[in-house]
Amino acid sequence: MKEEIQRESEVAVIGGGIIGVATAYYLTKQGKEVVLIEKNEVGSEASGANVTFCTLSSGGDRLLHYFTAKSIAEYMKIDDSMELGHDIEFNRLGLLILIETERSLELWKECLEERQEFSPEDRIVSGEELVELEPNLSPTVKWGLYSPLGGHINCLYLVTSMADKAKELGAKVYEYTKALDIKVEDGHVKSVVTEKGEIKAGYIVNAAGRWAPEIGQMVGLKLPITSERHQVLVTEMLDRKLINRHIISGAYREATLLPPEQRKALEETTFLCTNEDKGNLLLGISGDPATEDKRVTFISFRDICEQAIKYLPILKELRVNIIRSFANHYANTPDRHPILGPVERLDGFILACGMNDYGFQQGAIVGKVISEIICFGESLSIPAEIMKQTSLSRFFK
Amino acid sequence: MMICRCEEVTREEIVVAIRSGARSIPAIKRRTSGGMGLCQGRICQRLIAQILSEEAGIPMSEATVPMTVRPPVRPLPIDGIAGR
Repeated sequence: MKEEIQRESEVAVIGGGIIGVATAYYLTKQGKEVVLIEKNEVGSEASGANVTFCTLSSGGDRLLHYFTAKSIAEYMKIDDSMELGHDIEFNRLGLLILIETERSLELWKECLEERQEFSPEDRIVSGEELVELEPNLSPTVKWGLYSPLGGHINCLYLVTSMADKAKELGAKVYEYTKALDIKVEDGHVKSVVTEKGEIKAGYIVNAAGRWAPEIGQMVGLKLPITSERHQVLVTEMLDRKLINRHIISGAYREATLLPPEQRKALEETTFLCTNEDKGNLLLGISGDPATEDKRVTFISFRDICEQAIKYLPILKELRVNIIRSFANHYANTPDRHPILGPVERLDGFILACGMNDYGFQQGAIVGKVISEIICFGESLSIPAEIMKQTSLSRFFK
Repeated sequence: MMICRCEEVTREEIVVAIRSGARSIPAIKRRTSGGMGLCQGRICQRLIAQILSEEAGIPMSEATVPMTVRPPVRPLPIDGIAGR
């Protein structure tokens, strides 16, 4: 039976990842009429296949910290109120960046002040405090940057329950519905043409993740987004916690001082590990340019295992099993900042893309801000001077 | 009734996921974690498909479209591949 779709809506959102879903969710909370289309299923791409660091990112600058801190506050509200009607498994144990050399330590000290504006308790730890925080770390890790803000969320539960809640509030969510074209009339978006028919809309939001450039092309926009594959392994469920919080190796701060060709190799094998609520560990992360293939390569599988044993020797002692692997595609921008908001000379077209590797952690605030732009004509949650830095026009100056 | 033993997902939780809008085994997986454990759905996938077919009125031929099979095919010790 062919699904009949709604042919007209105030807003049409393209993309059923966390950005599109959160946009639809916050719009319906404001009483807007929303149709969301997704070419596959909700959360079937990067938003359902990531390590869900909802902490101040280790690679962030002030702008990124700003978005992340606001977003963590939103997630805390969502978690406390249980407003999605599903547990999102938000553990708030923070992040520990692993530091091994004096040089790396100096570089991380320089970042501390910028982080403390958003997470005042961020600090360098060593010795007994470090062992107390993470007793199973390799002794080669001599210091850590401990950031207690935020923690880990179950990304699958969050993206699906937020979509289900948006539907309950009146949003129409059409899966297996690919956007084929966007019609524009007199400098204003008119409709989005889908596999299941045309949907007229006053606003069209491009939240298509790594496919955002294809949607941009439909209205003649060139979006500077490239995709990168990131690969992750999952261990079996363990009866005890081998780590307590997110951990991530801090070596790539040092890498920024290296020539680009050496830097790349170090950045691509950044080790990270997180503990899921039910006791599995997620181990990552190895990146390479995106292909359509979403499997993990043998080389990455091996690299991640080696890194994991190096930082957490107990994994080898216990002969912990790997049961699963997955990969996703990040949508990177040249300056690592997202591309958000309206576009000059194209009324009604709203960008919510270029989220790099922090789409999930910033999903809530980006969805909220996009809904504010549509409902009130401006962002209320993030000040204008910050929003300005995320506009597409910054690339053409 | 326990359907996914590895992740301890009950029949009721699967039914709730279907009523919330899940229409495939992967969509049920995302909402419940069913099939994501040690056996990677070998035991429960057929049962989940039957519940999906029954609850959503989808023919078994469509309901049995499986989850993506992801390596390793069976659990592999972490030091079994490092250094190779």
